[in-house]
Amino acid sequence: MAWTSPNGFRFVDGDPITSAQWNTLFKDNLLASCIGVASTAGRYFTTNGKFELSERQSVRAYKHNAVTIDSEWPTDPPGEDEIGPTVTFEHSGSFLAWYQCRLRRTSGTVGYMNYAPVPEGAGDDYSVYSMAVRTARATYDTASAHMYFTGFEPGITTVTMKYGRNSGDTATGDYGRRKLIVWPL
Amino acid sequence: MATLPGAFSANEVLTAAKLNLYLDYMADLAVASANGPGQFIGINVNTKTPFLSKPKSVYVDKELILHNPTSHSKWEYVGPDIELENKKAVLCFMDARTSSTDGSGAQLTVASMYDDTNQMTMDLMNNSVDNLRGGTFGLYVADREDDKISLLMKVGPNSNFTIAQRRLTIVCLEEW
Amino acid sequence: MAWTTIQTKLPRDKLTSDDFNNQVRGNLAASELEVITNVYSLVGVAGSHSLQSLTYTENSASSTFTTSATSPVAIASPTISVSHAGVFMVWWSCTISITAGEISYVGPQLSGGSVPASIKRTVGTSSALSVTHTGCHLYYDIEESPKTVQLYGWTEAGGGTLTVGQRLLGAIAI
Repeated sequence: MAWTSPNGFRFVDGDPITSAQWNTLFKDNLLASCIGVASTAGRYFTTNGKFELSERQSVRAYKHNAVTIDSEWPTDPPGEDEIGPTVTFEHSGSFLAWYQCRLRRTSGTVGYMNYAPVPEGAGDDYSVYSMAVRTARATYDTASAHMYFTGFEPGITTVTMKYGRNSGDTATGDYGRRKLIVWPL
Repeated sequence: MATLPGAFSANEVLTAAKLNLYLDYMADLAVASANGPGQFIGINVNTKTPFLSKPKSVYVDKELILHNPTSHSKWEYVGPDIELENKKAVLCFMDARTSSTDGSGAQLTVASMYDDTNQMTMDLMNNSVDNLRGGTFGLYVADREDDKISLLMKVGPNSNFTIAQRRLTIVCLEEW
Repeated sequence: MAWTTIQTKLPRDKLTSDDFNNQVRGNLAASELEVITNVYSLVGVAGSHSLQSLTYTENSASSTFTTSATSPVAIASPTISVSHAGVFMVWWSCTISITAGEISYVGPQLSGGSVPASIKRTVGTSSALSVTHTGCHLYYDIEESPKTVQLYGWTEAGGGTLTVGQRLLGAIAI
C-alpha cells in the first residue's frame, strides 16, 4: 500500500474529514507502516525505497562434511552434493553475509587457502583478498569473516561459497563445517 | 517527540485539531523517513523517532609490519576508520589477516580516534607465525557525538606483528 | 493490543469517534514508536500486524577456562538472554589454544536443552598458540522466549587441555 505524506495537509474546522481522506491518510498510510506491513514472525524491517518498507528474512546454509581442495579460487568442492553452502533470497540491492569454516593448509605446500562467498552476477567486482576466510596454517582452525555486498540489482540472488588457493600458489587445503548466513536488505 | 494523541470520547466530534495531532504522529512513523532501499529501521528511544540504519563498510588491503623493540606495549592505529556522524552505538565486525613473530603478539580492536581508552570489548589475536584471515565482532558505544573509530593495534613488548586485508563494517543500533 | 482491520469508507459512511479510537489510535498504539523501547534495537516482526524489538545484547568474560573433557562442559561466563520471535543470530568470539595435536571445540548451547552444544556450531583449533576464533549461528524455529545462551567447551579425544581466555557472546533477534 502506498504512503501519502501527511506533511503540509491540515484539517480545518467546518470542513469535515471525508471518506477519501480517511482512506488515504489513515487507512492506506497505516497499511504502509511497519504495523501494517508486518506479517510473519521472525523477520525484520528494511527500507525498499522512498516511503516503502519490506519485511526481510535472514537465511542460512551449512555443509558438514570435510572436503579437500587442490585448485585455484574460485572453485567448487568435488561432488555435486558438496557444492556450497548456498542461499537464495530476495533483497533491494544489498546484503550482509557472515561465513565460517574449519580449514587448514595441507602441510608441505605453499600459499593460502581461501573460503569466500560469490553472489551470482558479481563478476570480478570483489577481490578474494578483501573478503575471504584465508589460512596459511597447517593446524585446523575455525575462522569466520563477513562482507557487506552492495550495488546489486534488486530481486532474488543466490550466493555460493567458493574455495581455492591463491592464483600461482601450490597450496592444497581441507575444509569442513562450512557455514553461510545472509541478512538481505 | 511523537506523542500518541488521546482517544476521542464517545460520540465526540472529530475536530480538526485532534485529527491534525494524528497526522503529526503518523508523519513520525518510520515509513515516512524511508528515503531509499537497503536500510534497517531503528528507534531513538530518547526522542521516540525512527532512524535508518544503513551498514557502512571500509577496507584497507595494504600490509603493515608493526615492530615493537621496547619493553612496553605499543599502541598504533592501523585503520581503516569510519566517521560515526550521528551514530551512538554501532555493532562492529572486523576482519584482518594477521600473523605474529617474536614476543607476546598483538591484539586488534576497534577504538575511538579521539580516546583510545574507549574500545570495543573483544580483541583479535594471532600468536602464530602463520597467517590467518578471520574476524571478531562487538558493540562500540561512542562517548561523544561525531566520533570516529578505527582499528587499533596493541603490539606486545619485543614483538613483531603483520596485518593486512582488514575490513571494518558497522550497523547502527542507536543514534544520538 | 491486537490489530483492528481498518475499513474502507464510502462517501455515505459516517466517520465516528469509535472508528478513530479502534482503527487508528488502537493500531497506532502498536506502532514502532510505542513498541520499541529498548536501546540497541532494530524494528522486527513478532507476527501478523505485530512488532518486536530486535535488541542486541552482549556479555564478555576474561577468566581462564580449561578442560580436557570429551563432551561439552559449560563455561560459566558469559551468558546472555535473547528475546525473540523464533529467529535470532548469535556470535561468539574466544581466544583459544589447545595442547598440540588435540582438537578443541567451543560453541553455544541454548537453555532448556532444546538446542544443545554441537560440533556443527563450534569454533576451535588444533594449535597450541592463542588465536581469536569467532563463530556465528542463525537459530530458527526456536519456540521459547527468552532463551539463555551459554558457551560450552570440549576436546576431541581428551589427550590435551583446551584453554579459553577472553571471550565475547552477542546475540540479536532478527
